[in-house]
Amino acid sequence: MAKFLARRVLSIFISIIGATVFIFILTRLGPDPLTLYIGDSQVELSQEQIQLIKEQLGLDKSLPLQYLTWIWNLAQFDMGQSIGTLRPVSEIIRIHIAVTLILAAGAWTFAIAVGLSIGVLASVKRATFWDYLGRTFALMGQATPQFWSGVLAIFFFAVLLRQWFGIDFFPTGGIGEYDGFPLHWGNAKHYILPCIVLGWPASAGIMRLTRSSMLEILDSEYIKLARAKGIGPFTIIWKHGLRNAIIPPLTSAFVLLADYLNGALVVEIIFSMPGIGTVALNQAVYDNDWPLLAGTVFVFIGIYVTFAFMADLLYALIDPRIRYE
Amino acid sequence: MQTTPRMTTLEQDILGMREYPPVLHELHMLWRFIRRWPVIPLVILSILALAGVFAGGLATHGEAAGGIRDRHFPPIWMQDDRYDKLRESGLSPGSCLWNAFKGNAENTRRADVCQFHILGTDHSGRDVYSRMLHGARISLVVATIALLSGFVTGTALGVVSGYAGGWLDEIVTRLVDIWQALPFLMVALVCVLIFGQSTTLLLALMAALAWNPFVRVIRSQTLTIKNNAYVDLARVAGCSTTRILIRHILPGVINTAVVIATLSVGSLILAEAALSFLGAGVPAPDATWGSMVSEGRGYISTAWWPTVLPGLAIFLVVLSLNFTGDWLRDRLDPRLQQIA
Repeated sequence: MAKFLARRVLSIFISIIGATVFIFILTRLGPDPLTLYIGDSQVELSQEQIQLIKEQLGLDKSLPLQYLTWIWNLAQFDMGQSIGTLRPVSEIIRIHIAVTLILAAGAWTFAIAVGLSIGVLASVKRATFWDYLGRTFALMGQATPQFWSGVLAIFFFAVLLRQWFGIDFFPTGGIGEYDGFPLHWGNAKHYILPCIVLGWPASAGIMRLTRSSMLEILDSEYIKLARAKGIGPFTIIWKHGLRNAIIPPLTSAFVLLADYLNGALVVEIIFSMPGIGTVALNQAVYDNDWPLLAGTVFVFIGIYVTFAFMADLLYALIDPRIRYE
Repeated sequence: MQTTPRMTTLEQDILGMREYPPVLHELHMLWRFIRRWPVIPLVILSILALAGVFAGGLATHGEAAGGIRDRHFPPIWMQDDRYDKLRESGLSPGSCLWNAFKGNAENTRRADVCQFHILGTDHSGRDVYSRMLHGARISLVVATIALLSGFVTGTALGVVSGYAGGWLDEIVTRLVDIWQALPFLMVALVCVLIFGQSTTLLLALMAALAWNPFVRVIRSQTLTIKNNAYVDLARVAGCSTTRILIRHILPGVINTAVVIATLSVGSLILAEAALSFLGAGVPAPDATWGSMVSEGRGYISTAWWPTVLPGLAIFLVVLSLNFTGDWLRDRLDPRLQQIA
């Protein structure tokens, strides 16, 4: 187990370093960061002043050295200063990441709850109406573009419900009144539609995994024995069946959670939520604010790698064969 | 007919043990045919292919043609004052559209030849139907090129790294890991900012997205295949490594590669649409389904058709592709069921 852990941790470090080098090079291929920093200022800057700014931003050093400085500061939780807004990157990320995390957690909960229950239903009622309904649900979820289902959800639940029935429950976007912490119960309704839109495609994947592994388990000998002993269907399905069938969907759910933070970008834009995806797009990408960009991408990478690692770990804990690979 | 009570109706159906009255029998056979073969998905996909290939001939309007006075014409079956006026002045939609098609054939079509719009117009008066045809072409081209390059690179990398092992294998696996960890949409947006929006860049990005799913699965399959006795025998017989890879390993993994290709092409189309939606796809006047949804969504409460219809097209195409992929997987490689 120790050897397995060491290998995984090493590969995580390699992943992080490779990905950050890639991002760093990519952001530096773009327009010179200095022009952005000086921007549209009307004042003519002398050569010495430009040199001073360069030194302040650390732009006078060679690229590898800049990268090393950046990653060294990163190790001390200092991601530098945003060029566009002159605020510390870590502060910007800290403010906005809460929205994204709540969104991702909500969508994940939705995906697991719906995916597991429909998967169990479809496997128990195999080849009946319920099975086909569940599989249709899954296929549709995997085929729906999120930017389209999001727009439709706003149209139906926020616009048409108001027009036709005067129901004023669902907001068209945003996160409600902001008072430092983005979620209190009054604002919860702002997250309902985005979470469902974000969670639906993944619930389809979980549903399919649950269904296929449940079918395998329900066909096995010990379930037949349990039935022969006269154990009721409830205990057989939920205790003997699901407990053993839950491993593949749960481990894949961890990787899914990481995917959510990427997919959240589109959903945040549609529902105009000030999450980290919106910040990355509006402030970092369009302004080529590379410290902010590198910081946000690093957070995305870090979260992905952490969850992938947790999925591996979970799998190794449950299934000992993985460890001795 | 005597039936065993333990059989389900489905099993009786499959064995032909249930009897139906004459017309119902034919309908039932049709239903069984549809369930057995992916008929409806293939019909939808052929429509997509035809629409993409003959987009120029089937379009009734120019892709970017239209003026603000034509904005938000509804689809042709809906009620609209402007359509009524046109009908009163003696124009009929049928002859009008026919003239447009004839104009295509004779290469003489003018932008204002037809005032009727089959699927309506968007906020700047452009014909939704014609733009969707061009979008079909772009989706088709992008998905095909991305898939082909991903198929070739991914399979080659998987086979080579699986067979070679050692440091080469390590590098390829690390590359896959690193690429997996990067947030694709953001990387794509950064690339668009740096290199400027272009079709070439879009194709490159899509190709970069496509190879990843192949490598892992193909590599692990190669690992099992290379331990077979016939591979060792081939080596003993003096086959070169290239020959072993192509003649002895590749045939064993090609089915899997085809299945992965059909299963991943749907998500490629979705990714292309998402990129277009975010404004990182094919540059502006060209229509793609994703960019149509993005342009139309601000006006959805006055005109639903420019937003709903292209999204519906994406949905139907991806649904059909996934369905066909599932069917193909069950036929070619049932072991893959746990993966996708």
